Amino acid sequence: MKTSTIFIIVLSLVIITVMYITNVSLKNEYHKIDLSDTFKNYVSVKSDSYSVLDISGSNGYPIEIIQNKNNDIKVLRTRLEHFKSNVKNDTLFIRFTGSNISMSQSFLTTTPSGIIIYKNNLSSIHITNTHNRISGYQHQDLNLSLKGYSHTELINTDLNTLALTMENQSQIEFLNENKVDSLSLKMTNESVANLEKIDFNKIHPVLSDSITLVLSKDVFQRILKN
Amino acid sequence: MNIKAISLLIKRQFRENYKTYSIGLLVLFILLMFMFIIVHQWQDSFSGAVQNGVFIIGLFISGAVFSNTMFSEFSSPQSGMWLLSIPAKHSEKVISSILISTGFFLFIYILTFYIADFIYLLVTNKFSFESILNPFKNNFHQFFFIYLLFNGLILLGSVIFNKNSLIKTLLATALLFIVFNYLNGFMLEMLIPEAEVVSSIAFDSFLFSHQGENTKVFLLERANLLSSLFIRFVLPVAIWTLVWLKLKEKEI
Repeated sequence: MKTSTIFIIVLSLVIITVMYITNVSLKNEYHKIDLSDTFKNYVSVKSDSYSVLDISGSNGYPIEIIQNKNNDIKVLRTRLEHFKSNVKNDTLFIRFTGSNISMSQSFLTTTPSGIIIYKNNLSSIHITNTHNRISGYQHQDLNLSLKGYSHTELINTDLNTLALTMENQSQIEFLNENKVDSLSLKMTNESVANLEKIDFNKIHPVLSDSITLVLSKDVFQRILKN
Repeated sequence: MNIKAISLLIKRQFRENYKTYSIGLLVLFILLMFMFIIVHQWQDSFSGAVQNGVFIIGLFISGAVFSNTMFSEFSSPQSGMWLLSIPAKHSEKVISSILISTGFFLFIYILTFYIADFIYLLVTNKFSFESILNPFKNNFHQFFFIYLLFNGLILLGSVIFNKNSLIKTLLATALLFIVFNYLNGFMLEMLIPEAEVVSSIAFDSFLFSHQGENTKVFLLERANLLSSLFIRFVLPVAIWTLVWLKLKEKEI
């Protein structure tokens, strides 16, 4: 028998053995998954304590930030390779990259959330280029800084103060019912804010460049009164 | 093994084929520009990472054609005998071919791609520092390792098959891929009979369906590292060793 033939046989056996070993490892990973868990497609990521959140990356998958007493960060299994985080001082930096995924994908109902962050109290959120859904935050002050091509949705919030700073082509949209006592709105470049679904007592707008505001009749009249 | 002999073999390859390589370079540039024009013309159909797509398609098409020319002498008995009679070890001939078809080729390919990419971005008014393809973003560089494995298979085919070696090699590679894929699926079914496996990637992951919801299972940490090392380094080196053995045993 030729040396190359023996080599091919040995190589085939090695490939099949490695394939078997990796499949056994995959079997072990499979058995770690709780099939009854709603979040079985997510992996919990540990982090040190923080009160400021800094998220940047891709807007292909939405990122949910939800007020909850149980602090947790869940990352979609298929996107775990694209997730990097570290805590410096009091800030949790999250880098969530994507492969130039079309942003329209992020709005599809079939697209799952890439990251789900449960956090009871947040003083500031800095967002660059990502698509975010911030929901449920109540009875607290919040600084929100939006940059790049980020798109942020605020859902069912009831805040004392909201300081909103928007740059570049960032967008914000208030959905369902949102209340804030004092709204500070600083918008520059080509940023867009949809204020139709927000109820505020005081507003402090600082607007410049080619910004766009979408207002309901009621909100418009309240801005004029301020 | 003699480094001087390897450098002489590399020089021989370039001196004998510089005209073909010059025309090939022009064809590569036109091919890349053509693909960029297509993705721009039908940009609604090609949303997302178009540069990555063009890079991969260009790399594997041109890489296959170029790597296949390394032992093109075997297409005729006379030139095949001449190649075998060159006073250098077979290992030196294989190493010089690997160096040309991986190191040299990748360098020229990346350079040509970025020139084409630069022109595409400039013409379509999309040029910015961030819009240039970053091969180290999102693990995209893993395709370079897959190319090494692919290169080994093409070199092996060009030594084994004398006539129409590229077509035969691609067919054999596709057949091999299908067989290993079925084997991997069969193994998973045997190991985890309760899982409804939807799809699988050998040495990497599988997707299973549970109550209509798909869940991906993949290797973590040490197992993932060892599997990556096997695919990225051990397998290409093993295939290149096989090329050397086949060249040693080659008879015209």
